Amino acid sequence: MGIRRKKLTQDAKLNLIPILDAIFIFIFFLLMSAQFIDIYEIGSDAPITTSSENHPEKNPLNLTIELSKNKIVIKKGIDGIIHKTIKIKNLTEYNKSLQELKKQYPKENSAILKPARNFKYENIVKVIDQTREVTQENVFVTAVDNKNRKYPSKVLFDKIIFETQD
Amino acid sequence: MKKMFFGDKGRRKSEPMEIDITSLLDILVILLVFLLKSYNASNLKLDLVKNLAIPDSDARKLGAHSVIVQVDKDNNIWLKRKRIGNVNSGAQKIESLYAALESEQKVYKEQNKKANKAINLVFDKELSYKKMKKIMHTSSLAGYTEFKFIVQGNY
Repeated sequence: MGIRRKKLTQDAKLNLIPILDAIFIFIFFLLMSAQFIDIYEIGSDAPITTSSENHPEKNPLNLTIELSKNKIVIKKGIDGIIHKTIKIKNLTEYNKSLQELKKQYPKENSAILKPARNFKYENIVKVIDQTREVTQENVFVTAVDNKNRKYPSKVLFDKIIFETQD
Repeated sequence: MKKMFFGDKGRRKSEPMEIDITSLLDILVILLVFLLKSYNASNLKLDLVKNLAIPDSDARKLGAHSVIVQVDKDNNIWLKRKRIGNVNSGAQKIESLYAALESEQKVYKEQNKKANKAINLVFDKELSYKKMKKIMHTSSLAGYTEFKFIVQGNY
């Protein structure tokens, strides 16, 4: 009896060599595909002019954001009425103002960016980040889908268009 | 007689040598976890040129493979890691970039029977909007109207 038990315990050894081989190959492929900086993209379309065959909304938001060295000017409407002027350093307030606008215009998703000529790319990206999404945690805005159903969302104005005319 | 001479030594040699690989396995598992964390499913492979620092962003949309135009700190324009000109040359349209992009578009059209609209723009974070605009304007003239600004994820 004693001998039988001994034999059974000796047979239970795992052969890890094939698993190790597989892991080594896996690591090799992962190392080959590894990119040590996380890169992402921010999409933006070139402005296009279309004929007025599609009837636009009566009062479109036409959100335009003017960026200069010290301030951000939020304009709305076809006439470009100034909605708010915010200091460039106060991006949280800028984000909150856009949240208010999104509540008023839940179907709108585009914003026209009009930076000054010497405005730095790094700062443009910061403004885009604040324009695209609600940055505060646990804060959501109401968005409307194609079938007019409301749902909570973090997205504000994610369709960024650059104003390229002087 | 043999047993008398070699005794225990002969027995030890015939026993299979066992290596303890537990610690090696530990290292491999840790390495695997880190590599899996850094794995990026995007097919965009970016090889940054010298003197170029891309800005940080909250964006989390993965990039896709397309033409990559890079502009470094010294305003040099790079296409496929080949210097093709400087942003300061020309007025609104940069001729050297336009010609290079147009030939890229031609090759793409021949291969895919349709135009490629997407362009990956990798700009140095210090670049001014005036220079950005020139690149964007030239790109759109060459048929690339979907700009993809490549940024670095900040955590």
